[in-house]
Amino acid sequence: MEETELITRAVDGDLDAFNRLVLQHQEVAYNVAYRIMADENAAADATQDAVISMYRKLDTYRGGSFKSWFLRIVTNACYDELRRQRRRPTIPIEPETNEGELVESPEWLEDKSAGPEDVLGTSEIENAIQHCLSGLDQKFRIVITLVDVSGEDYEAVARIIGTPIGTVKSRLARARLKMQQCLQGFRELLPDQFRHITEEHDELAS
Amino acid sequence: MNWQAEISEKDMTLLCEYLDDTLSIKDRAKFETRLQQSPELTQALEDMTALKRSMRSLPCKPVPHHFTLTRSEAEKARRGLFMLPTFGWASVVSMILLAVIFGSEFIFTNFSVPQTPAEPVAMMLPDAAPESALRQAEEESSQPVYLLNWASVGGKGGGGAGGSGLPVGGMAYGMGGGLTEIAPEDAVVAEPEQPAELTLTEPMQTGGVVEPTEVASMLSEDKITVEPLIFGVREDQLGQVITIEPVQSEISAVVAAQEVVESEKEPIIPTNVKWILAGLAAAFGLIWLLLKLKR
Repeated sequence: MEETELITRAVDGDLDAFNRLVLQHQEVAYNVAYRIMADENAAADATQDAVISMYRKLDTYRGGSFKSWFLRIVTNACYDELRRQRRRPTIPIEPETNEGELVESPEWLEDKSAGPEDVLGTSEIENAIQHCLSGLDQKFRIVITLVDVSGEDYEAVARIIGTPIGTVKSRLARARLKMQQCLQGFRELLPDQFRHITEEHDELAS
Repeated sequence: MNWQAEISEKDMTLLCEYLDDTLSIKDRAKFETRLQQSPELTQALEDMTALKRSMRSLPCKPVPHHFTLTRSEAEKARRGLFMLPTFGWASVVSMILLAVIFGSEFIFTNFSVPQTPAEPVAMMLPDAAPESALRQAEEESSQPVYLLNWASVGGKGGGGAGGSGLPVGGMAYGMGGGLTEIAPEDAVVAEPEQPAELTLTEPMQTGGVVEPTEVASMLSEDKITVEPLIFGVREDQLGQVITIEPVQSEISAVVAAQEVVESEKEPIIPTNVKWILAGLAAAFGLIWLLLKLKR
């Protein structure tokens, strides 16, 4: 069944059609939420809230890309979830030592794949990227996630976050620059090209 | 190569657009020329390409569970859909009603005529607001009235008794000494509509008192003759103060004036209604806020 037909039926109150739309887009929605929230449970909560919110707002859908419209609701749900987290801050399991120094998080040490070394390497890169993503300001994180992780174009991102396209471009440039600077701290985990760059950087600095 | 310090923010934005293939053909050609001339830009482009590739290669996380809605969840979501705006609008309507009530009371209090023809005290004091009438009456009632015996009888005329701001009383007892002709238009102030102002008649025994009804009947003729009213002449009490007391009529005037003031101060809408409305507005608003936060 075509997406347009599913949307029409969902707007008319067909719950099955709505759920089929959810199944089509839930993976991208959850992944965007996960990259923004950097936490699986929070991402699942945000995605579920977004689905409920989407069901309530179905009659306000005015055409265009359904995926972009859904992602807009997801990012709003993430904003709400992040606001809630700020209001009720949780204590991380091992954020820092008694001296206030950051320690490696259990997730960082976790051997998720327990497979061949190359797979382990991919996981480490992923964790490094996620670590740097989490360190970005919320507005930069959302833009770089939508463009580089989810693959949305600038116009779609502008619609999703409700800002002019120029703002998207400038935020993306700054986000990438910050990511680049952050990833230099993980040079031994990164592909050769990153390692090469950071070594050059160190030579120049010395 | 440390290109980060060398490249401006504008160049960084252009580089990202080049990387994401969003530049126009003309701008793209121009940027490629600059790329060939600038090793920093070339290096930055390589780094950004690697970063983008790494970001795109992040594995897709499998969903922990399906996010579809069950029938009950959908119904609950729909219910919440109606409750939130309902309480929101109820709160707004209550607030508007409250504002209208206070606004109308403010307008009536500040811009309405203070007296009405149906209120006798207000009629007697056409140029004064009820508050000033009350003040004047209170001042006068707090001062004792001295009723004196005069040494001679008749021919002295007489002043208004007390000049109490109650002109009817003043004029009625101001007629003294000799026969006096009163034109009806001059005597209109003695009309019997204000019997309360004629209460000083009792101690005036010697000359006889013109009853309000008599005055009224006399006024029906063109020219009337009024028997002289001789006040305060008692042979056995010459030179003595007969009585010092607040005049009863003034006390009643004070009471009447107070009633007028109180009736004017009484709000159009009872205070209880205002409290109920304020309470409803607050309660609805609170429920709306709780529902909003819960969502």
